Amino acid sequence: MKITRRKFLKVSGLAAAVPLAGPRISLAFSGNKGSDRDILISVYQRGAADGLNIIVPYFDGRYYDLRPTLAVDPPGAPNGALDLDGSYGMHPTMTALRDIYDAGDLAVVHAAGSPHPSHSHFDAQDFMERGILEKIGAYTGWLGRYMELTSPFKADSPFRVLGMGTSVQITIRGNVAAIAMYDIDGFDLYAQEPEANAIRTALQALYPGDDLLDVSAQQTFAAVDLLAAANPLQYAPDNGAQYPETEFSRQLMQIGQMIKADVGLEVAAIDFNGWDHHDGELGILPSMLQEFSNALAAFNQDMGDRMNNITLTTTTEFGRRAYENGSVGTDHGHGGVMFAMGKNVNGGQVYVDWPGLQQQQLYEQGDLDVTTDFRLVLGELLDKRGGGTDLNYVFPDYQMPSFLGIFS
Amino acid sequence: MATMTRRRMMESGLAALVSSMSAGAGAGLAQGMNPARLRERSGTPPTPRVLRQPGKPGFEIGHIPMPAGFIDNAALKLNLPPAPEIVQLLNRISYGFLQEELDAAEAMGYAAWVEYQLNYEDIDASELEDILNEFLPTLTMSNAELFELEDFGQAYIELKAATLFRQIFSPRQLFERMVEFWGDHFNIYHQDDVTQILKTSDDRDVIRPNALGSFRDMLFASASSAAMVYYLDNFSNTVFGPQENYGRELMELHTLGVDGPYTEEDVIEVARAFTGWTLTDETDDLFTFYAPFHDFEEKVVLGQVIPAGGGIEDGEFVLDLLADHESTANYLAKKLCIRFVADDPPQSIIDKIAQEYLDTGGDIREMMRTLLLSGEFRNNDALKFKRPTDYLMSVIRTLNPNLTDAYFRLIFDFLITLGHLPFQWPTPDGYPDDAVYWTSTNALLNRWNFAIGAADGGLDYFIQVRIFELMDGARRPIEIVDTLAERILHRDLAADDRAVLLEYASDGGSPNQWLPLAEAVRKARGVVALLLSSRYFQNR
Repeated sequence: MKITRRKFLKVSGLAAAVPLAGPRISLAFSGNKGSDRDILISVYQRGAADGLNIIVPYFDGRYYDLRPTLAVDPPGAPNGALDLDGSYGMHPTMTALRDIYDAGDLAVVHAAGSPHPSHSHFDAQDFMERGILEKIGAYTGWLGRYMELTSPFKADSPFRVLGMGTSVQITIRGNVAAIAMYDIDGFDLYAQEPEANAIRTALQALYPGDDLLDVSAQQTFAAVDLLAAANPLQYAPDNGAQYPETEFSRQLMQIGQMIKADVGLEVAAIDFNGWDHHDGELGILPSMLQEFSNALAAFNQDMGDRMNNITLTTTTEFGRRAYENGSVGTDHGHGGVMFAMGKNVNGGQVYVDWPGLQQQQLYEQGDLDVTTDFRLVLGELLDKRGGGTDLNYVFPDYQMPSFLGIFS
Repeated sequence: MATMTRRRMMESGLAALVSSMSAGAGAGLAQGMNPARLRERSGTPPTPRVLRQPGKPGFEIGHIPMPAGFIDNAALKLNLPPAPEIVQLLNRISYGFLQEELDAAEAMGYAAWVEYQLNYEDIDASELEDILNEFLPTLTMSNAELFELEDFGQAYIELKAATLFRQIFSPRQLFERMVEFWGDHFNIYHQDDVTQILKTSDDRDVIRPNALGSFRDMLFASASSAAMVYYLDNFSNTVFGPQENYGRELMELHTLGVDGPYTEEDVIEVARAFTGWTLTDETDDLFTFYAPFHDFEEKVVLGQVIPAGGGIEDGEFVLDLLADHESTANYLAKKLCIRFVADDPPQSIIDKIAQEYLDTGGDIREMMRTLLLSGEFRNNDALKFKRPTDYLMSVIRTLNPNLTDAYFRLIFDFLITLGHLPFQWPTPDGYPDDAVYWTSTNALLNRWNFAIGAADGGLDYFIQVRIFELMDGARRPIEIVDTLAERILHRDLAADDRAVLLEYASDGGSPNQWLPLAEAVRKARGVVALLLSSRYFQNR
């Protein structure tokens, strides 16, 4: 049951407290319709998702040799993979995403990832979010740097860059300030009348500078004002979309509500945690993939025609080892899987230059190799769906090869 | 705090917690709630939710794993008038403090207060510990006993509760800070199946006995702690199927650091050394070395040969090797300095602490003494942005409010929203420790709402500020501002900030006007809210 702000105030005895009425921003927005840039949503599967069991290379017999317990059966077998193109199949729990793939709005990129050799989650996430391979001074995220080169959909919107969660993801850090929001519901400042306005005014005056903390505070005031005026929670899912009742799904739904509320959102980052399956993978991965698939599909459905102006991509820090370990799980690997979803995606295809799974073909003798650099996918995204950008600035230590044609 | 009052607040808070757990709310608490529901207090307990049980998938409270180090070098430079040295000390080594604690520290002197807090065994915490043990029976259970619990959520909630209660009420403030530090360092996610129960013994037997003791002892205890063996999967690391998770994190996170001098090859070799360190139901602590799982072949770790034929000694050899390593000294020294000195601490102090580690064989108390007495610490005007736990605890410890029976629920739920519940960071690197990570709109908004609610009566159901005590008779805006600033911040305000507060408290009138009592109280509450919300109090 959703508890509204009104109910919250009532049950918490805060009836006398009202959201502080500061200078409200008037809403005269037009969104990005007609813009040559899509709203870009970056999903991070943290913990290194197992690409080989998400998109199964069922044509490659070595896959079955390396994973006697964990392998997903080929299409046609009971609980077999969902065929995509005669060679690759999706995990059987992902029927909702397969439908979108069939409709041509979902693309798969396999053996994708970062060429960085790290098997450390923390290092690898860090490098990937920054879009670099070397510590060369690019201390911002790839989407953050992209945003530095754009002009806003709506001038002065505090919600141009949104990170769902308790802090701002590195991916979207840059000179354009990013909002961290754990939940739309409750994103307001509460104080008792009759002091509410005076407290708000004084509090704002106590953060006058340009330090990290001051800037964050000013941004918070602006965001609170805009959110109160736009009231995104009024928007129910459209087109019969049904989101799973989980944190990731709620946050994805709320990104949709922010888009509907037309607050000037341009890029959003959202995390799905918990893909580090060293053991018991069979017990955990299927339900997580189902949730992942259903959440993305619900978003696609909810957004409907808006997906003409929205592109969603996924990343994970690396894939998992090609062969299973001794505890029905997989250790840290290298190449993984990325997804791209939206009406401007040339979907219904698996983009892959298969590196093979023979011993000598494995990266460091254990991992699926990376044949598609994640930056090639994201670079094309920014070029085609981001209205073009200076890719040398966004990905400073990468010489961009020809695009794969994932986006139109 | 007056002893009787404090005792009553500890007991009533714990009693309310225990009764809410028996009503089935314990597991509900654990799953977290929406921020707008935080202060909900209708009579009905929340719907119980089942925590993830062994072998079954569950979902995790979401946090964003972030790397330690390699972060934007955006140190806080707020340009505030510096706090007195002893105030800074108390800010850094405690979870907030009362005027009477400051008075005691000033009377004792800087170095003596450091010594007093370092020798925590001599500080009597028995009243608190007795109450905790009385109300939270799982704290003293063995792993085998914990497994017999009908509801694993009970151990889960009780450990979190004990941790937060100790931070609020323990007189051993530096010690509790060290417990938090090492709990982060040897992070174990509390919702990884059976870690719900096993973290209890890890906290009690690994972290707490060694938090100001020997790093080597803690490292050894951690390696055979059932919670760690489970969390980093070493229980399934066998000669038949090596599992490198523990071996990797042992070097990357527990000892050498990610930039340490080890290779992928070393990771595999260390994993081999720890084959057979696993779990059994035949011992009380569940840990065992099971020889049939062990790889008895030769290993080479960091260039050192471990001859074939060794058993449990292989792993012990590795732990000694890592504990003795210079990279470990540097890595731990830097982390301690980041926690206590600055996000970007001077290299000179890191070097001193690392040397102390090497000289004393990893004596944490000696490292901390050197750190707290160093010039770099004492003459340091860098700020540390309080992490959410620091912030909430310091609001409570500073105000010394009347805490109602339900206050624990409030703290718990705010910590969920702020992303800083104890032991709830999912990945083994532990909660970050830098301002760039913790400063966000979500953070500021919820911190302000906590402070404002605590001060202005909005959260009266949980926290009732003793406003008359704090005001100490002040009736004029200028007295209200100056009295409360001294009581809450113990430092000078910048002129501009004082002017903002005076303007607020005067409401357009003269700062010297005599306010009617009701208005004086209302303005005092507002000033408290503003002080707690200000940059001064957001940092330590």
